[in-house]
Amino acid sequence: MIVATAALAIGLGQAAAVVEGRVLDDRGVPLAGASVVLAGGAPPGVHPAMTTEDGSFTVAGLAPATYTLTIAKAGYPTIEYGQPRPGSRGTLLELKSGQALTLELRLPRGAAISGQIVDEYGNGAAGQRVIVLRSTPTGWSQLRNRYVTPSPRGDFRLYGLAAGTYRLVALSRDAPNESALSAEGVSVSVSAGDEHEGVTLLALSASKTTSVTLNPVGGTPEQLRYPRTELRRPGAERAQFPYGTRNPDGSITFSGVPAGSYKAIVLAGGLWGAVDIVVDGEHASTIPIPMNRAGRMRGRVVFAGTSPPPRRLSLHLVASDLDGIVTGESNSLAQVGGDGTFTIPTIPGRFLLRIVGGSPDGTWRLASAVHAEIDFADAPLTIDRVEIADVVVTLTDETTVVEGSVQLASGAPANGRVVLLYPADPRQRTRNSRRIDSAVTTLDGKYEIRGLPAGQYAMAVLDELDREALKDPAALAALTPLATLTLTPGKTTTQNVTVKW
Amino acid sequence: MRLMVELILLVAGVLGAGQAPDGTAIVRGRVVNAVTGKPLRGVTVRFTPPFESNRYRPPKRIATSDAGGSFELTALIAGEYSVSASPAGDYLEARFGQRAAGGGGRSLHVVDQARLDITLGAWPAARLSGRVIDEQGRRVVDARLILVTRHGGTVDSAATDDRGEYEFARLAPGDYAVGVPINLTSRTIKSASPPRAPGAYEPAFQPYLLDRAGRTILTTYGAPLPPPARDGQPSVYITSFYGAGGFGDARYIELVAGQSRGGVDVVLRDRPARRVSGVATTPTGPVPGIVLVLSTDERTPWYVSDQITATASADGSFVFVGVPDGSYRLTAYKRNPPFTEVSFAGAAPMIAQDDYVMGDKDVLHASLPFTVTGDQDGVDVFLQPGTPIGGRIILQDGTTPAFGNQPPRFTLLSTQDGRFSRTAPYIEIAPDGTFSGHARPGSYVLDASGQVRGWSFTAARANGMAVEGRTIEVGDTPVALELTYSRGVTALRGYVSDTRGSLTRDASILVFPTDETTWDADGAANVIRYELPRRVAFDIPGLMTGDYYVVAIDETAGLVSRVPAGLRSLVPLATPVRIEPGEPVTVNLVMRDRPGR
Repeated sequence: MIVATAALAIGLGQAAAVVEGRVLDDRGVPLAGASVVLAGGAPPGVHPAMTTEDGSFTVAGLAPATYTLTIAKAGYPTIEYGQPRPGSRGTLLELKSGQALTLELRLPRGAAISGQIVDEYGNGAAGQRVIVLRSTPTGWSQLRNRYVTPSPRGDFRLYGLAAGTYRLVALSRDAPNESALSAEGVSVSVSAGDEHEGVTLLALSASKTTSVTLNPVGGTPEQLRYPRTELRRPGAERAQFPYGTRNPDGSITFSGVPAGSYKAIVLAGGLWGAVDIVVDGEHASTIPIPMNRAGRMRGRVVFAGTSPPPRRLSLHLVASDLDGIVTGESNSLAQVGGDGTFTIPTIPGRFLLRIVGGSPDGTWRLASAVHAEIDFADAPLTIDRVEIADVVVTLTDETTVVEGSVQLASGAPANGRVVLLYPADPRQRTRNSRRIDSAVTTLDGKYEIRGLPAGQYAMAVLDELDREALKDPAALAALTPLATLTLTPGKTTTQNVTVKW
Repeated sequence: MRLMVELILLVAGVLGAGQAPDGTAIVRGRVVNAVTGKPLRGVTVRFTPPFESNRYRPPKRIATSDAGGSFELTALIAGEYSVSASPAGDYLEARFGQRAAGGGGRSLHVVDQARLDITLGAWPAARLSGRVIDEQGRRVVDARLILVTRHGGTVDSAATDDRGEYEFARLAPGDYAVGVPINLTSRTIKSASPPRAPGAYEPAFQPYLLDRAGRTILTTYGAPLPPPARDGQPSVYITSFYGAGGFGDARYIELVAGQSRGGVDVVLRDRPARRVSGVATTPTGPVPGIVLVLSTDERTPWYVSDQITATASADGSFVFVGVPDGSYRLTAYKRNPPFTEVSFAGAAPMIAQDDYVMGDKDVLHASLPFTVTGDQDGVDVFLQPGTPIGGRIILQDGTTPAFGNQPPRFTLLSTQDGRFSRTAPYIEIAPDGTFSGHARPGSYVLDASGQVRGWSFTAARANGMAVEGRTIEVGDTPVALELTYSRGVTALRGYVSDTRGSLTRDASILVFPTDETTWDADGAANVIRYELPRRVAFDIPGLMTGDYYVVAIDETAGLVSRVPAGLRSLVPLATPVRIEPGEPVTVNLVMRDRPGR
């Protein structure tokens, strides 16, 4: 029955291939209950098998094609066939018509790291969690689904880890995950089957907390009805307290605020207010926030191209650094009118301009946004005045395309690699730059990146992409570019590269 | 009269402040082991004011105990606080006013300039640990265990590590059963599901079986799939509890305060996985979204039994990829919208959360006994629409209802077990008060609580006969319902005092219908109400017309279970009340000690 069904999916004149073999651990012990999955083929599909007591498996009825092979078992790191080191991508398996392939596969045992979180008295500490970071080519990367809640006595155990170097950080319940990146923690290197015991992590004691009430001063109740409020640590990207509780009198209260410095922000109905505050963790404080009228930015949009203009187009401002009133997308959004003019409400800070829309298929792209000879599509514009006029936003319907393939030295396609393009000029590597984009290679090693602005780019190929890490220009500087290329509007640039792994 | 004055003062103390004032009270205290009196250091003590909607409330405050177990909070704003502390190690959460391990707390009343000294005693917690192994003695990694009390519900969950070991910690004294419930889910695969090259985002790999037709996969929740037999025959684990067998044979373990019980090993049973396939149809032919469920013992609560489900394709064909031999009840329903189909990222299946459910207007359902002995193909499952239910809302003043876009809502709660919750009645109510829908045959409890535009439910007639109590029987013939609503709203009000006559907010207030058949209905939470936050004066609006018990209990020596047995023990302490629209019913309650166990 299996053969008959499979034959339907296999072309005439072709015979099904079979992959069989055994799965052993790093010591050569047969593994029962390991999943072996071939994925790929034509038509595409998945073909799983599970190893029996002696570690053997059979996957039959495979159309001649290329496949990835994945091996997984609870308590073991998941690996791909042919991967040169843990965490990197594997190679493809090419099956010919009627081929019977016998494989002896190795699934290394997972390593375990165990220990205890202790407080300043040396007691086991509860109410903390352990965040695990792994060393990668672009720096430390947080393992997804890999945080551990210790026992009430502070004991923890991590298992199923691939060989490698890890950093363990204890965080209190309310600390954001990102703060693990800046914490020192304990670094441990493990190999397959290692049992690394006795790691001691020091818990940070719970800090004193109190409440902070923000009282907007100025503005009508109507304007202040739906405020967006937050408390943010200086230099942090996201607010530690992203919203407060609105009181009947219009003030906003944040509870459980630990001692420290914050930026208190209120945005509402065309008004903004921002005050730097210090919280002592003991006394409830009420802080008046003087509300200011938002400024405006006026200008017009130029469509440099022959395509019909988009039916709907919005412009908005994105903060370029972390010490402003807002750190990400601002509330500054405006729709472009039928005559091509726009008025964007503004708050002070350093901003880049971005477009939303530009027709359903993205025909129109941002070419430049110029004010006083600054192109703030790429270089931040400092908004320090209420009125900014004569902004010219140019859109283009010509797009750049980069395509190509990534292959191994053997000539085999390298699938699942991340192809990263970033500005060749370090000065253009700003936060929220529009000149950084990436694509993952397909099973045949091909990639395509469309719509980057014209200019000079560097290309790197990575095992994995940590978007958070790449926001830091230093992470880009640490990469070794495999190629430098110049992108021209309306032209397709082909770039093939060979990687070692 | 003294009571009323005190009441006003108390309320003013909580609400008076419109702006955040600086506090003047100081609270000192100690955190100690409740049994030995040993001081506990480095403990976070939380002062939390009760939630009062739309009113200013004092901020939450936190203090930490020093080496001598002492803590101090200065500049505390006057008000009511619940005070709790969670020491590290094997201690239960300590609450101010708690009289026994696992009990609730009292609130701490703080006035301006107060100098208070309190002690928080933390009870040593029990813990329970062991391994999960299978019948061959293999340790099972990543098995998910649940902990169940004798009186209802899951209290905790845990997972085994790479050594097959688990631990439940911070347990209050009591009787516990521990087991691994298994869900086996067969879901259809997207027709063309190209396995993408593994990319930056990879879902965690979970083992799965692919059906021979390549259109359905089996995933399991609770434990990974066991290795297949030497001949390649796949097998599955089935729900297993400590003490051998399923939930019905579970052995309860009695834990006392501070006890550490190890060696509680759960043996997971594995069984050959059979294939059961067929076609599900309805009177109008195949429909998308049919889900089939095989369930075992009918008396077993759903959360501790095997959950075996299969999603049918749009053409009605379905496959249970792996089912152990046994006797089941096969039920089927239509899910609207249908479950999304499985796709793949590399080799790992990706299954959407699918938590948005609109309900099935036709209430298509099937239910039949079903025995699995070996593989079985060609199973025909025929889903019937529910019995039509129609009727209208009658206003007692004889006027024609015009509710606009806010007609009153009522629901029929099934009195059968939770396996049928997927085929809940579906009734649409028009602005003129007429309604129509469908319900699967069976017994229901009418829930017409809540009120709309000043109208409240008062009486029901089914097929011309007055409905006694709240139970409505639905058979095979259409049901005509008339629901009468009267002008006025319902409310149950009062205040609570302790046995000495002082007002207190330390009681838990429970209101539940006198009719016992409602206590167990699916969705009974709607008819059993309790007052949170706890207040001196309580005000419970929107109760459905009928007879109720109301009781104020002191739970500081242990919480009262809300299951039928727990409610039954409260009846001798409770005050019967009749709720009708019109004047609010006022009952002043005396806080009662919770009934002995």
